[in-house]
Amino acid sequence: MTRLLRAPVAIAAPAMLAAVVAIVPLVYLFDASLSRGVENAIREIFLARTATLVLRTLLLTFIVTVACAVVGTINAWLVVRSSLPLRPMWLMLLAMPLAIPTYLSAFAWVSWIPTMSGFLGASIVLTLASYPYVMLPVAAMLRGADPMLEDVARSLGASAPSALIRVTLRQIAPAIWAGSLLVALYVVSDFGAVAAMRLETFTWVIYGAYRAGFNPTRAATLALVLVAMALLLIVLERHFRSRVTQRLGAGTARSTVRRTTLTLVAPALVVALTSIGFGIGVPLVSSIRWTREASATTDWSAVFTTIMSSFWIGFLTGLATLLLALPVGILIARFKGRLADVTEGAVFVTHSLPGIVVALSVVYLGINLVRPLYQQVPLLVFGQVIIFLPLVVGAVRTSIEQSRLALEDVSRSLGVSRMATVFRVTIPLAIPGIAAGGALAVLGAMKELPTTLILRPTEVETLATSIWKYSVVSDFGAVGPYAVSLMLLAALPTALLSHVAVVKVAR
Amino acid sequence: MTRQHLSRRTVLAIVGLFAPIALISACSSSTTDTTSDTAAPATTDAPTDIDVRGETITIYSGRSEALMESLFAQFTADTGVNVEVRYGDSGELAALLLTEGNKSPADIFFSQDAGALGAIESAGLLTALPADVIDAVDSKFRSTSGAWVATSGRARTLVYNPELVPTPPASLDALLDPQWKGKIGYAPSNASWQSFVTALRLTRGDDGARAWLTGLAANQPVAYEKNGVVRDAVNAGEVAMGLINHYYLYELISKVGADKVVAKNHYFKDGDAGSLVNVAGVGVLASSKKSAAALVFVRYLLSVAGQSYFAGRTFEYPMVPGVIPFVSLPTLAELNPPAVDLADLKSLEETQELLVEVGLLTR
Amino acid sequence: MTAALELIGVTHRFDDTVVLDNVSFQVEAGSITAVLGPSGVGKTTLLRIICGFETPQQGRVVISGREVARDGDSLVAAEHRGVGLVPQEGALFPHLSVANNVSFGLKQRRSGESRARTNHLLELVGLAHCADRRPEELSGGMQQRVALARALAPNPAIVLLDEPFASLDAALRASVRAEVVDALRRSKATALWVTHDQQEALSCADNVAVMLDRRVVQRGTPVDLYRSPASRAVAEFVGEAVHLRGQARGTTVSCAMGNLQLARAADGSVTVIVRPEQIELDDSPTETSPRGRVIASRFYGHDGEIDVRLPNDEVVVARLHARLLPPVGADVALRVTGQALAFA
Repeated sequence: MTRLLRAPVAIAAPAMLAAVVAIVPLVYLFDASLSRGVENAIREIFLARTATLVLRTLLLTFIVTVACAVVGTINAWLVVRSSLPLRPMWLMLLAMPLAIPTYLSAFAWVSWIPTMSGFLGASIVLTLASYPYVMLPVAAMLRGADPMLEDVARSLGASAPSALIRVTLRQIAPAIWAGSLLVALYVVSDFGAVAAMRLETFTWVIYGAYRAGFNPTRAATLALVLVAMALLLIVLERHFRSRVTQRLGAGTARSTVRRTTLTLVAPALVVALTSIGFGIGVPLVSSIRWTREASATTDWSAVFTTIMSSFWIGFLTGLATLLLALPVGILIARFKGRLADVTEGAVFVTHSLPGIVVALSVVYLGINLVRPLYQQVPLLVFGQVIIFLPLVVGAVRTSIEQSRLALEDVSRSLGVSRMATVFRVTIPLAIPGIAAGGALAVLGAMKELPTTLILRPTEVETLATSIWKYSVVSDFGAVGPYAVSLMLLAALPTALLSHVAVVKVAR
Repeated sequence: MTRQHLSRRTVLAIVGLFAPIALISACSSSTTDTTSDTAAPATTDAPTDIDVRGETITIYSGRSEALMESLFAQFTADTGVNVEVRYGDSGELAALLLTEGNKSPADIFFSQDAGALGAIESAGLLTALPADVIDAVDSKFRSTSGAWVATSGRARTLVYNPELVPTPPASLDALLDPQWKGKIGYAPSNASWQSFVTALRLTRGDDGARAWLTGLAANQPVAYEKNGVVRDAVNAGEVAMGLINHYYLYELISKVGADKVVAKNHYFKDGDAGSLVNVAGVGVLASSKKSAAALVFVRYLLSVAGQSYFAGRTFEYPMVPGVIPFVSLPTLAELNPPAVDLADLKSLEETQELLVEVGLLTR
Repeated sequence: MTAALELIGVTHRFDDTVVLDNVSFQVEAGSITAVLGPSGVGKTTLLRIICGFETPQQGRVVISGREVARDGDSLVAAEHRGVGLVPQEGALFPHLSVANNVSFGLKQRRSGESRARTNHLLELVGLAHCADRRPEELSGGMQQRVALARALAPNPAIVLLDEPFASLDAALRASVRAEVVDALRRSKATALWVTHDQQEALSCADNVAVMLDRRVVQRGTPVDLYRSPASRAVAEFVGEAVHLRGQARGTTVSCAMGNLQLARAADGSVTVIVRPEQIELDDSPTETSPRGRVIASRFYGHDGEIDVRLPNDEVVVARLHARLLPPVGADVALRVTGQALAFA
């Protein structure tokens, strides 16, 4: 049922603030891009062999997104529906690639198999790094989906795989779409993997315009092409994602685990083992090997200090992102309409921008408007919020959409105002999604490099900047301890994420 | 570290966050660096204006922390000027400076290469250096307008394994001989390699450069991630030779000892792009309010202490006459580098496009 | 005495579809009124309008003498209307204990007064011992009783129940229903009860409003509705009906079951309606007694039904005591007790 309620100001106002925060980079991009006139901007777009680049970037995005949708869904099915033992442990292991930054895993890959570089290598690394964005929401939705439907399909003569595809896949399609959008936007924005794999994508050219062309105007113009691509992806996703299909009636609680045949589990298990082995095995083994080369000279107290600053920056980013994402998530899930659509679009579109673009836009804003905060933690956190807002909004939205509207109606009929209902009913029911969203932001901020490098307070080191610091001088012995620490630290929010995914979502 | 106007809570958070870091950096500052054996007494020709003692300057450094932090610590110890250093990729720092414009908190831009300095200079963000600073460096290695000077140089070289290649090819064009098919290593994404190709474009024109690169591509050179990896591969005999900078060899020797290094450097010395000497350099931001202290820093880099540091620690070419390289290298004059204006090396993006076109950059 | 709830000419559309058409009725304070209608006639929309989650384009909603909505404007927000809602399947807050669910709508929830009120209501629905349990630990029927206690707690002007027992199984439904009605009566609450189950409406409510085709077609006591439905549609919806063709003249009608007395006078060709329990076996038949052959027999335990084919091929259903059920194939004589209904 559509709800035509106007959002209360206390929801709409902070949600609009979040949208404004999210489009800060766009303001900068337009200003920088048009600083030498519209014709110049148009010429830049045609100079950049744009068509080839757009096609290559879209092809990479398409291949990685489809691969993530397949791998993520298979893994989610394995840990939620199959009768595999130790499923929570599997889920946690399968979520672990989230803890590994692409610049690290890509480098681990090419130093292991140098010939991997290029399109194939970039596709593999990006798929292994991003499939959890599909797996986690799909696992959560599979938990909530009525498993009886699959049984009914079986009783109507459908084979197990066919029931899976015709019934279950339809049930979880919204989660697959939502996760795929995040993957697609991420692939468009990623630089770490394509740089190490030497694949010329749009992001590569944007970085080239900064680093080699010393031409921010050109970089901004090209980034606007990315924004256009992102808009296309967002519109596509909206078109395909039907409204969340709520379960018809609560029914009785049933175990979601199905007795599964080996012919179904075995291939899925191969996918899962490949995901784990290559997704975390390769970078972890490389990092440990580097660490062992370095163990004699590692200054562990420096490593510890860096861990602490990564932790705090991650924590503050998580908190700030949540505060902004909550009203947006509530607005999108509960007060559908023009305002919600615009806000959602604004929040998601900047996810396609490479970190350096977001960072420079915050530089531009910070140095002109809030000079005292420039190169201070609040502005660093601000930049990270822009990047991770869509991840958190997605998690919050899904979680709110899954709780029953009737609960909020009851609350209001009991004399509780709309705002108070948000705090007493909507938010408590969405706690799993909120926690998952927060964990995603913390995780992202811990791994994030380009924005941190530019916006961090001078002389503050995070694990990511330390990895960068030593890898630019090829001192992999020194990189090792930071890389291992990053993976271990990031394992904490990842564990929380995977735990939340298996907690039964309140209906 | 100086902190500006912040709310009390933010200050608390930041203090909690960074106090340990401040402690660590203080500790590392007190450890002495390894240059003392080669550096002349630092104070002799590092003029220290008493007025700037205790001031803090902000340096945007495109040169890496691992190599530069002890030099900066020594600078503070010797001059009493404190530094806050923001490390980053030279090109990204240039983009940052261009975005910050005249509101930049930076006083100094210390770049890994001349191109980034040239870009900042064209935007009018650098201030002219005094004549005595400019004149200390050969005119080939400074901005024509005097906005920046080189602080150290690095020569392109062909590192080779004498066990595999008793006589290395004599010139760039000799490298295109089919006998070297699959035997040349290079690091396609390395900035120095790209500067070399830029120099090739400047000396031979785009078509000449394209012809040479196409020939090289036909010889199927082996791509490595980094220059250091190329060097290791040559030394281990995985690949016969590699196009890298001269100092990588000496880094290896200082790390593992000369007896474990078989690889040798070959210099073309023919005035061609293969003999390019690229530089790291420094400039003072026009927006700096501490230009006196900033100049102290520039002078320090060009002092015996600073120059000896580059010679002894990074095995680069000193830029000031009178300080000699730490290792026995051909002199800059002997190298016979091509006649290119180093600031013109900023046309890197066109170089990358050419490399993509001939298939040597991306896959 | 003012009505607890009054709807006057309420009309509501979703886009171009009319879902409520000029609906008017009132609910007397202290009474239980049922809105009876088949699925999809707009009953839930009606409740949402009373609650304040939808605003009707036309008409007025008045609660305890206070106008809360009028012609497209919501005058009082949902949370200030003083209506208690018991939705389908209870919709207890899964993150709160039973006691905290009940005290949800109370001011100063931690005061002693609130605690006393919560305990009182839990006792009223017979669940005082479950105060600290989580909702998912309760059976469906218990959840519904908690939902009622929660709705009653803030002393609402009216309690709205939306198909409250639809999800319970038949055996449980009757007992939970009795408990809920009992609790409503004892708390002297006013209730509006939406249901598609005519048995539920007839047995629980003081008054019933029948909704068919987006409008209220008849209001009255359960007995009135059953005995004198205003239309053939109501007659068919409220209770089971046996249809016969007939010719009416004044207060009598002649049909295959003989000449019957009519409750309301009619003339000409009519459809005659009698209830299955009005048709009995005639153990002392006369020449004119209608006769027929039993073609089906259904045994329900305490009673049963037979289908009888009359000589003119019309089929009537008779509800009989189980002990009286004749075998299939038997020829029987029938008679009709009471008055019949006739509709043109």
